[in-house]
Amino acid sequence: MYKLTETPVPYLIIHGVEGRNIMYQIRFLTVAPQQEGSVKEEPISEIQTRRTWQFDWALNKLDNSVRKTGRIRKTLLLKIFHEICKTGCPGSNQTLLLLRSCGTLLPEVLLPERTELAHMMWDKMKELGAVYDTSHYNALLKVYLQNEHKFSPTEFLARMEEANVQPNRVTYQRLIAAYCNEGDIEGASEILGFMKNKDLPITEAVFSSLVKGHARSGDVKSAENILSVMRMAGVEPGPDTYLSLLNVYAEKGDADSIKKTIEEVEKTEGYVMDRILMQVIFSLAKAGYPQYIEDIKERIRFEKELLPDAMNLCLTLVTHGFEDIGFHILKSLNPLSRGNVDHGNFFLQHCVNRDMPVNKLKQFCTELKEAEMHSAPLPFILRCALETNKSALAIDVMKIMKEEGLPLRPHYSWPLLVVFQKEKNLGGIFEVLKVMHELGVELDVETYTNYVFKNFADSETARAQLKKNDCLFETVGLSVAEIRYEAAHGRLNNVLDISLAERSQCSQVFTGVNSIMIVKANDNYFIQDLNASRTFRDFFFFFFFPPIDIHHFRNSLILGFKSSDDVSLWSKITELLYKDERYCLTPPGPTEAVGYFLYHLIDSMSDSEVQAKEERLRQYFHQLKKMNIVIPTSHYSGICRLLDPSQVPELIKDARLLPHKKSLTTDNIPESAKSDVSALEKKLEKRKAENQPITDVLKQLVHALCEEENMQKALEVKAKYEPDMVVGGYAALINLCCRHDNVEEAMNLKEKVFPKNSPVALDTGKYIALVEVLAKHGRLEDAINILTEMKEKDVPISDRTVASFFRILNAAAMRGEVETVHRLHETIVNLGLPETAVLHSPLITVHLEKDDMTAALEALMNCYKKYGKILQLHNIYCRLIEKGDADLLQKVSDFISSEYGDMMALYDLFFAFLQTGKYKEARKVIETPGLRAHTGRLHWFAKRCISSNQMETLEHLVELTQNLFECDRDEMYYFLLQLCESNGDWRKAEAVWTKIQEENVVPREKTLALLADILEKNGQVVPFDVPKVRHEDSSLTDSNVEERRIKILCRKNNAKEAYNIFLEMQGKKEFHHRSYDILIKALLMQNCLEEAIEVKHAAETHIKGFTLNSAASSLLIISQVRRDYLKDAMAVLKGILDSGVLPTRPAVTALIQALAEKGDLKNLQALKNMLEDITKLIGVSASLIANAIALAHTKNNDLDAAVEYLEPLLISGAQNPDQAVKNISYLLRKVSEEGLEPAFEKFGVMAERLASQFGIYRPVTDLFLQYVSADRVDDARSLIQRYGASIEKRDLVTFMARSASKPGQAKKIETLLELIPEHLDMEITYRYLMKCYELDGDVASVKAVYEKTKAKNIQLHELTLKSLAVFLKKVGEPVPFTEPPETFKFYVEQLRKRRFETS
Amino acid sequence: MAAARAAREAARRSRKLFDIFVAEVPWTVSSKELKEYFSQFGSVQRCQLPFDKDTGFHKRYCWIKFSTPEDVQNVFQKDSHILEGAKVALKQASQAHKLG
Repeated sequence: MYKLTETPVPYLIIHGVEGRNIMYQIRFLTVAPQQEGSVKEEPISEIQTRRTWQFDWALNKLDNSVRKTGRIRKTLLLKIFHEICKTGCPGSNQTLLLLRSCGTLLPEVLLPERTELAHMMWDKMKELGAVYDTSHYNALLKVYLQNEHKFSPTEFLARMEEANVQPNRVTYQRLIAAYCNEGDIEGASEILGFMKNKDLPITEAVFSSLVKGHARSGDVKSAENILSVMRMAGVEPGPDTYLSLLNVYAEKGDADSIKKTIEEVEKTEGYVMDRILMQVIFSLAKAGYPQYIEDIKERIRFEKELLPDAMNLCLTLVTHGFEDIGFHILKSLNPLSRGNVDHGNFFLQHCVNRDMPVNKLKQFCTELKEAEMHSAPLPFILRCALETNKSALAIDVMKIMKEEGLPLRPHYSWPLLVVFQKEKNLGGIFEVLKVMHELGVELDVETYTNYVFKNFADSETARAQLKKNDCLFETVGLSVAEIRYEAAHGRLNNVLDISLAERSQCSQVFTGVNSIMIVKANDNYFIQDLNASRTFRDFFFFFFFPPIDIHHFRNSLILGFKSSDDVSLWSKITELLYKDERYCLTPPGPTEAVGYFLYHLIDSMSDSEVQAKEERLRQYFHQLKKMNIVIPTSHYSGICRLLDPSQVPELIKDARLLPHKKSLTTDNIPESAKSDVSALEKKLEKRKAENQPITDVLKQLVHALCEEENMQKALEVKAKYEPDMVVGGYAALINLCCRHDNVEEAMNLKEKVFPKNSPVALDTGKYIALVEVLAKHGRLEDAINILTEMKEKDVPISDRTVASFFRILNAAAMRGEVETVHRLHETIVNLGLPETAVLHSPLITVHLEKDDMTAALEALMNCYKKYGKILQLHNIYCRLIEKGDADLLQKVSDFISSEYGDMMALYDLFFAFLQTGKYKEARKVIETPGLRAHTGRLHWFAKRCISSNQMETLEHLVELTQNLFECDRDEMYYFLLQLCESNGDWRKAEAVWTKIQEENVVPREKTLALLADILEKNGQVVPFDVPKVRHEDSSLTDSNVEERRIKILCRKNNAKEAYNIFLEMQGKKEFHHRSYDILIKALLMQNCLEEAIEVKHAAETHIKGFTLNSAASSLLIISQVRRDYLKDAMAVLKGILDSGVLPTRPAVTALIQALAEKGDLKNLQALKNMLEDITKLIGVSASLIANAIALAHTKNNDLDAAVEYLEPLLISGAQNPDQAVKNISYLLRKVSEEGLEPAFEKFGVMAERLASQFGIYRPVTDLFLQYVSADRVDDARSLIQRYGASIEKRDLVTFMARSASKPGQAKKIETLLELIPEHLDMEITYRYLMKCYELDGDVASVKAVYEKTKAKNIQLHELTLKSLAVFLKKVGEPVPFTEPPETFKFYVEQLRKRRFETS
Repeated sequence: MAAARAAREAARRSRKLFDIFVAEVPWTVSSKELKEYFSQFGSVQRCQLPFDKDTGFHKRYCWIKFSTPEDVQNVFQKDSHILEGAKVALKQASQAHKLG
């Protein structure tokens, strides 16, 4: 074998230089692009052509890490590895990327571990089907070298051969390096021989390896000689070679040669040696010559660019156990620090990761602090320890922190507790509690609630366990946590016990106290002379049992209340809160605190919850009253406001027990109470004359007058009966005066009844009315006072209020009142409204109105500066153009250009010229070179034209944008057609069609459909083939994803989510008519009435003449009725009837019944008129309406009127089968259910009269059946004895059918069987009876009935038998007969047919 | 009635809105310290510092609610806010953050 050391190698063909230096390769990802050709070993372009997005992602991740830090965290690498594995077979470039990262890029990982990692990845990816080529083997070799991994190069080659992978030049070079690392020149020479045989070029990398190889074989002379050998071979020594040589000297501890070499290189080569020198430092450290390091270090200029490398050197040193040297380097980086940022975190963290002893860490921290490199190194180390779950270290660090006087906080213990909790290591938890106590940290309530108690079944167990393990420390935190924990788990009795226990402990301590007390404070013991002085008592009280303010556990307590039904516990706890000063010590005291608590309790309950718990809440209020607990009036009215929508008027009355004074009276009179003015007046006078209380009637009268807008009279009535006026009446009166511009009277009333300092507030609407009228009459100060009052009294502000504010501001702006606008605007904005741009625009409008353009422009810019909104821009532009004010026009254009860019400014100008009819100028603007279509802006203007019906402007827009780059022509024409459609202008539409052809635009199907529609609707022939997709058919033409998502979500019953999307899209997009219907319906199904109405409003603003379809509007009506919004429901009904849509029967029925319940005759009558011709179509019986009206009379205590109304109808109904009012079952049922006995009697007499005098038997049948229903068997029997013969079978069947549709009604049919068996069809009766018991799930009765039918030989229909068989099977009972073989449906059909044939 | 309900919702929402969003809160600081710090600008009504129940560390951001808009203005009058040596980032809380 040829010996390289002896002679030069002239026959080796030197092709090029490879692997210029090792250090640079560490950062291959960053520097590769800049040094193409010289650095890369594998052709990167090849990787890039094959890369997928995923590769991009991984590369970016790694690249980012390397770019920023020059290294990769092991966790990141593993994460990327797992991600890549998860997606299945990793690509070639991915495997390469991962393998290459397992070397020096992981300075924080020990060398063997890095190799292990590489092997693990190699194997795993191979398993997943990765195919390895030469590049992968080479990458693995590189990793071996970087990790100083010992391996057999020949075996490696054999493995490659086995895998049928050809080694290349790079493979050989690296194998040579491997031999040289071991000082094996022979091995290296063998490989060189291979290379020679294959005519491979020998590069600098090979020579560098040989330098090392010779040195490590003990022959430094030969090593030094290599440099001249390579020169002779025509290869210039580069940084790699010098590094190799310097490392040789470093390993020998030859400081002089190092120095000489460095100086030589600096002189002759002019390299930047810094990175090389850092490697030399590492070599010196490893070789055990730290004394020479300082000398080298001084030569390095630590500049910013060097920082990642320097950091990595520090990390590498720490990894190899040279932390002191590392720290020394770290400190030299100090001049690089900028500002007062902490330095050395990476170092400290790595030290923690490497389990450095705490003393060492402490020393580093102290030095860093002294060097002013780090402001808080100890807390940082604590964090690292906590993050890596090193609890022992964390505790040690906390001890040091305490010694150094650093604060220790409860939440420092949380990460430790979390880990122990996960490990279910109770011992660990106790230990932490003890240590924290020893450290003097009083753990807070959160610690106990979230991290301690969770480990135990309940707080009692927790307490016992803590005690047993000597870590029970009585603190406020513990007590509150106990209360919270038990409350949140609904164990209110425990809450009470705990609270009481604390009290008794407290008093025990006091009874044990003599005159001297030892008090522990701040770790010092004081001897206190007691003498039971009040101050000391307080002190003591606070010290050992400091106040636990209720707000610490309010929410948990509310949860507890809600999950407990024990009212007396509720009350006891509330009493404790109220009377034990510890819980409510913060001013304003217990009254306030308990009021606040009650308010939140109610606030946290939904309407249905309130309804479900109404009775309990009532008892609760009563008990509180008994306990003499009072709450502030303001809280009371807040609670009433909360209760208001829950439909619990009785409960609201009971809530009145709570506030201080009894000064409050009913504020909300039911709508139903309204009757006409004259009747009320009479009633009032009568009452007055009889010396009866008149407040209620008076209130009704005032309301009625307000309704009639009769201000004069209303004020007169008020004056006359002043002492009996109540708050509600005044409020209505104020509103009335506002409406009638009577600002004086309105303010007088307001000041008198609702003064500013009174806790009673008007509702929002009335305040708004006041502000509006005051502003209108120039009483600015008063208006502002009202607004401030609204704020002080926390009057709720809704979107509607905001709209009102806008109206008020805009009105002032239209009047040109600058000061008014400004002052009102300022006050309104300060109310803390949600940000609404619209409120700012009057600030500009006012100047436009005054034609002060300079001021308008200034206002525009101010709005932008203050609120970030550009408002009224279009109007300003138009006005300036109209005025020809070129200067200001330029100014505003410049402003928009600078803020939004030239394009936006050009569009604004374009639209303004169009708007003002200056088409020539508009053309010039739109033809600005480079301007392209901005869909959003074009849509905005087009829609504006459509909504304001500006055909000419729109036509010009379409025409002028013809040559605009990227303009969607079809869309522009679609806009034109939309306007044609709303104008019904088919001629224009036809002209548009011609234009479309002229311009050679291919219209979309949607456009053609719209055109066809216009023509068809106007009786014209459609001159083309109408596409099948009509624009109404939304499913295919849904232009946007959101709309589709909304529909899908609605279908899945996720109306809330759909509504959220709707909200997001609001203002940005409009939806199809059908989508609105669907969304509204879905919302209503989920009982989201407000949201539904919101959507409806949006739809109405977007779609001209929008009406809900029948199903959605009916649902809306039902929801409104359910919430008692009867007026709204009436309006909806009227709306849909007006647009020719029919409501469903359930909707109409619900509304009728609700109105009847309220005794609202006026609206019932109106409803009756509305439904006059369509009752049959809807399927509402005439009887129902008549019954309802009679019921309403009843509700108004006018029984005579009810009978007078109903009786003639029943008589005529008997003669006139059309429009017949026949039955009175609804009326009877209602009065019976509500226990209105006199009414029931009266209608009973009427029914009997009709039967005996007129031969009309249906009412008496209804009466009989109502007796049966109400289980008044005797009454029923006596009735049947008189009218038995006249009872109609058909009515009985209907009655039984209805009974069998709900559970729990079997009794009714049993009663019928008992009373009138001779009137019943046994087969039918038993069928329904059976069904009733089946519904009840009453197996025994079902079987008994079946036995009875057998005994009585009643032939049951197969449908009945089928149903019975299915029922018995379901409950696991044997079927005592053969189950009918056909389906249910079959037998239902059969039965129907039979019925049809017999009738 | 509909209005009353809507108003109630609105009021509920506004109560739950926060004024200020604070980011880059140092891990050493708890809501107690935050409250103490921000109290110099006005009365702090609520301070919400969410903790990650899985790690026991807080999430490095929090929300603050003051009693009055003036308090909020006071806070923003100060250029930078340094808590335990670390500069925190403040933002006017948007409507986007609603609880519940």
